[in-house]
Amino acid sequence: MNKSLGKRDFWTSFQHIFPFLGLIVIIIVFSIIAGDKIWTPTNFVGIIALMIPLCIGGSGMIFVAAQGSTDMSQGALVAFAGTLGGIASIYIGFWAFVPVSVGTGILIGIFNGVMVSKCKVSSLMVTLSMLITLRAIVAFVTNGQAFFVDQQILELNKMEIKLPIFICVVALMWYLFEYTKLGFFSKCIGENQTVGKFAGIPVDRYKIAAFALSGAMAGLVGVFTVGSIGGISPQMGSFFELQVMISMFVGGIPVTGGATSRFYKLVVGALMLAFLQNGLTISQVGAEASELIQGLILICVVFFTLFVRNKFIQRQMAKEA
Amino acid sequence: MTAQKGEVVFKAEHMKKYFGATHANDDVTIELYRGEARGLIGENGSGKSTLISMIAGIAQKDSGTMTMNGGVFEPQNSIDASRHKIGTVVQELGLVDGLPVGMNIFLGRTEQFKKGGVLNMRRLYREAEEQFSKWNFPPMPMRRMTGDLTVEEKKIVELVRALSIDPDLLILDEITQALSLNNRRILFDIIEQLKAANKAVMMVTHDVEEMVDVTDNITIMRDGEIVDTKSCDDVTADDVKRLMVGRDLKGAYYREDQQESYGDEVVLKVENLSSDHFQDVSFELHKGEILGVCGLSDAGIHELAEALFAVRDVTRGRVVYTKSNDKIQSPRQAMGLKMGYVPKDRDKQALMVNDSIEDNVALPTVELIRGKLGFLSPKKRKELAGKVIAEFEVKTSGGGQLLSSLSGGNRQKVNLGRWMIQDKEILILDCPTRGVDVGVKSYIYHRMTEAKQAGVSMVVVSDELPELIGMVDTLIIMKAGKVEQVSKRSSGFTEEAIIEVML
Repeated sequence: MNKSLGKRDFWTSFQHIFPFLGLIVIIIVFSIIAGDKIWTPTNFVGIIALMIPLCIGGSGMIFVAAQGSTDMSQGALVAFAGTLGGIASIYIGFWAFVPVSVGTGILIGIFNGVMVSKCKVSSLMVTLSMLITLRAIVAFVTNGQAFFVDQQILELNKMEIKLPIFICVVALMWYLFEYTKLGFFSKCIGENQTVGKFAGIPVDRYKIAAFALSGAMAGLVGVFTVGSIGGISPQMGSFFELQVMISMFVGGIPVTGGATSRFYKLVVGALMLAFLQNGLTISQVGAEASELIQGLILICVVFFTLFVRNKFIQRQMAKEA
Repeated sequence: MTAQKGEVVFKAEHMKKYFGATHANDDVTIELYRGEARGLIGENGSGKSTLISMIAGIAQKDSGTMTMNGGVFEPQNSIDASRHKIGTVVQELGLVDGLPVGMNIFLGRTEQFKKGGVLNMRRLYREAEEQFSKWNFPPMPMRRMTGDLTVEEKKIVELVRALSIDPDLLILDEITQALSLNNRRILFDIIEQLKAANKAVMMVTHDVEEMVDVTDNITIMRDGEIVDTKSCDDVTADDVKRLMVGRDLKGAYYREDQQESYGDEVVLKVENLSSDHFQDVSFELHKGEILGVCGLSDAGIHELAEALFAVRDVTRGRVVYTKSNDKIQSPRQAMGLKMGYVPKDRDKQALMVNDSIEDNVALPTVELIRGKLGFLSPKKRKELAGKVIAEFEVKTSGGGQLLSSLSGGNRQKVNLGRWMIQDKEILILDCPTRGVDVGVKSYIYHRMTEAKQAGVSMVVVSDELPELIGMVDTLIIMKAGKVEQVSKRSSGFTEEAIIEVML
């Protein structure tokens, strides 16, 4: 009937399609550059291996992000939990590896959450301080050296073990995030904390829970990281938190959190990042140039995501007045 | 049609504005005269605010012409409009929170205080102060950050800003709703002054009685069109309501009985409740009772409502749910005890404005939706949202629509509906009909009466006396944080007597 209606619908649906579009463009570009190499089974396994830690880490961090907070400590926590788990496996026995790693993650997460909710410190400050602290402890404990742990850990790096664990964990977190009170209230807190409080949400408790989940997932990523190295390296998990955040943001999860935080966006974003990194490697782009290209592409994606989102909001606002 | 009072100061002809498929304004033609106070009234979503935003330069018209003081008027933005001597107070707050009050008064017009590129702040603050005293408003600290003010204070700042441009046409969009009685009176005096000075005023309010009292002529809008313009001398409030809604309002507006009626059982006991804003408030709420609380802006009535639901900390005293003798300590616990709370500030405290109707309905009803393994079924969520939309006649394209794209009245329907569809025993309603039109109001009153008959107890805090007089069994009048008087319905409330106690 009139033009503006059609336009609005275009932007509305475009907002949902956009993350997929970015993914498809990246896949097509690398299929052209690298040819068939991208579609070999070995390479495909490589892409999945890149995506797994991003998805697991993200499936915890997404609760924090939905609440509008930030968890900068996840990468350092990967190293810290992995290291403690490794030490436990040497002194207590191999069975202690996973519980100690994940348990450490949960405890540090709870500490972050308490600082943020009860002590009202901004989440960025708390987790940045935690990042520095944990890195320092890891450097101190390992003396800056890599060391080996029980070689049983390498079993964990096998795809037939890794993949089912990954699928179960992500499925569980997906369920928690999209279909339970925990995820719903997290999104509500991100939308408007005051409204949440006035509607009876125990906001503090949900904040602590979100950081605890983020920590638990960091612990699990720590287990897999140690598994892929076969030992403990003080550098492991460096910049991991940033990669997880990039996965979420390029996937279209808003930095401010809220109701438009959706789990599928994380998965799409993680895939996008995995394809990008893998594509650059098999196209034989040098390491430095590769990082530069990654950075530029991600800036473009984030810019367009925001651009599309703003268009969408403008359309919605226009209906209001 | 209207008797012409003076020369035409503003004219809009064949104004059209579309939002998507909806005609927000469809061929609107309106003339305003010097020395006239004009009321603009219509149901939520009838296009009043759209018309005003086009005049104020906030929204651009799709077609039509406007003339102001005889010249063609094509405002590109609100500063443009104020240059043409149109002062506007919009419905949504239009102040910059991070600036001091004085700066907000002269926002966009600070050139006059510049000397060699430097703002003379002292002069600016002084002149801002003068503006407040010129219009008889109590002085306000000009250096205070605007964000720290209450909603009412902000509205006054906006009003003073609109007045400070010495407008030939002053437009007020639902301002009285935010003002307490004392400040309303100052506003009505100002309107009289402007009329005497041969200026024009156009105001929007949902309080029909008030509008008939204050204005000379009333223009009624419905579905984006002007239905009629009536002189206030020959219409009654009921005529206006009928024209607005386009049909007779069914049944009585308020409840008809003049006797209090409620059960003997006490459901909620408030004992010596005290905080920074009120002291030693005690009362008992009975089953099926509507208990009203009123007072001026510093009476602490809204803070009391917050404390009842444990959103606000108290320094002394307690609120007891008598059935289980539990002391209410957190909103969550209160919800578990079948209490519900509708806060005063709909957009900041009650609703997630950038979220869908479905999510907003699900927020306080989550326990109804929750199934095995904590599963929040999307189907059940949709059903509940659909129930609220259907029962409260929310005008929307569906449960997925964002709240920000609904009109104020429809937002309030969602806000109230999501509590009233549950089987709550105690509802705390803070200004339940703020910013909604008579059609919705009468519906809300009807639902409240129904709930009362079903045994629901309600505490209604309100700035609108007619609504309290019309609905409550017991009325608590507060003054400066203390209970000044408690009276029962059978004693026969009158507005004058209540105001006397409040002042």
